[in-house]
Amino acid sequence: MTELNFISLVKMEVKKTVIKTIYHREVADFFESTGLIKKLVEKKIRCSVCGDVITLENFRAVTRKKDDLLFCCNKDSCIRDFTALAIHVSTE
Amino acid sequence: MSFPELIIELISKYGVWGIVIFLIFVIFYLVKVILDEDLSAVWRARVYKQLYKISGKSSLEKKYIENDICGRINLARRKMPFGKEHLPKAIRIEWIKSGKGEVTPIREGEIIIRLDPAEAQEKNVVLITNALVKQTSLVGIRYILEKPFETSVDLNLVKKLLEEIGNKKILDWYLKNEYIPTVEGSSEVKKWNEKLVEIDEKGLFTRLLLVELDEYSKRVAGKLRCEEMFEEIAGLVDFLYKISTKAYGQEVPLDYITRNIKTGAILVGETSKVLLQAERYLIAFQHKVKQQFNSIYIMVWDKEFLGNIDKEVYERFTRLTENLDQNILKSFKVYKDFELKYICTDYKGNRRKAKIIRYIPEYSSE
Repeated sequence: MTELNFISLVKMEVKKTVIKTIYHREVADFFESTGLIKKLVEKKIRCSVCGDVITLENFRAVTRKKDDLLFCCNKDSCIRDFTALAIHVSTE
Repeated sequence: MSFPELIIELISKYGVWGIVIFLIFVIFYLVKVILDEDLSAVWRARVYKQLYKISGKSSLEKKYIENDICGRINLARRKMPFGKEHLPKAIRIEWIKSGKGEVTPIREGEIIIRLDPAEAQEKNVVLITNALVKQTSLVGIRYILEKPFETSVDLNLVKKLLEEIGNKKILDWYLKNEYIPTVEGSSEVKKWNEKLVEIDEKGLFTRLLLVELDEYSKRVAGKLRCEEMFEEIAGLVDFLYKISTKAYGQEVPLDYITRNIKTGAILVGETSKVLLQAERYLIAFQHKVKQQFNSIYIMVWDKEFLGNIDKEVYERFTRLTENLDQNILKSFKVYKDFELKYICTDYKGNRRKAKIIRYIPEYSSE
């Protein structure tokens, strides 16, 4: 498939905020690549906001706080608090 | 008139020339798309969406999601009025490569979000807009802010970005699932939100409050948090709320002076003052310069209805308000930071033309 990329000559901003994302069909691969798939299967990963068990279906986001990885489930209220938490982690 | 009807009308009215005019418009639009990376991302997304619908391929779905989000959000933020700078910043989506044998590093404070299938794209747009607003706005002052205030600013900024995107489905989803439940779920958030909504209706949320908060972050950079800092910010919100809800003839404070904020406003809207005592605005400006304000705002609320009553008086009003800007630049050592024209809602709920000009006085150190 040829890339449908046009060259933008005028309105191109060099500085951009990169937001990393995971494709919904690659969630299992992501846990595999972080070495956490076993923990996930054993239901040992919990949402750091509400405490629910994280599964392949309800996983929404992840961030790092020092040596720990913090996870978030797909509840709207959780992701809102989780994003704020991640920002505070980065500015601490 | 629909687009096909317009083409038929052009051809039937002007014949071959109609086709030529139409083609010129098409070429002009294509050039515009090619020259604008965000607009071209929106068009790429449309193509990828159709290709994904036909083939169902994951690679096409990813390209649709990525281009659609970036194109929409980046175009929307460019339309938002923040003075000179665009807040929040432009975004780029980066998919995590997590095939067999790959190791995904996760850095401290970096948030990685799982996006939903293309069919739930409105949710994806909201998720990324939320993350973007939290990562790139109120930078440098989040540690000062109390949670309900911070939440309320974020909610309104996300709402404004989604409004600019112009997709009702996305905005409705956000209002129903996030905005309203969050506001209704906390009396503190509700209290702040009511003030911010009023300020926004007067057009001062992005054009003044966020601009001043951005300035504030530079002024307090590196300082430790203290109670006084949040009080300064809360006071600024109250100051703007009073201006925004001011009734005709009502006196409100027009200067806001604290340790880190020194800003003032001059309201231009009262017909008699503009027509008969325009020099009073210059005296008010001089007073603020003498107090060494960091920024001075001129807010003009257009007397559009005058045009229906007395066209001549209305024209004089418009001319005098325009002259005011020239007189300020001529009489004072100030730098004009920006001038933004917009439409706002007054305290009676009427839509009015408005203009805000930000001046930064230059003081020589002696």
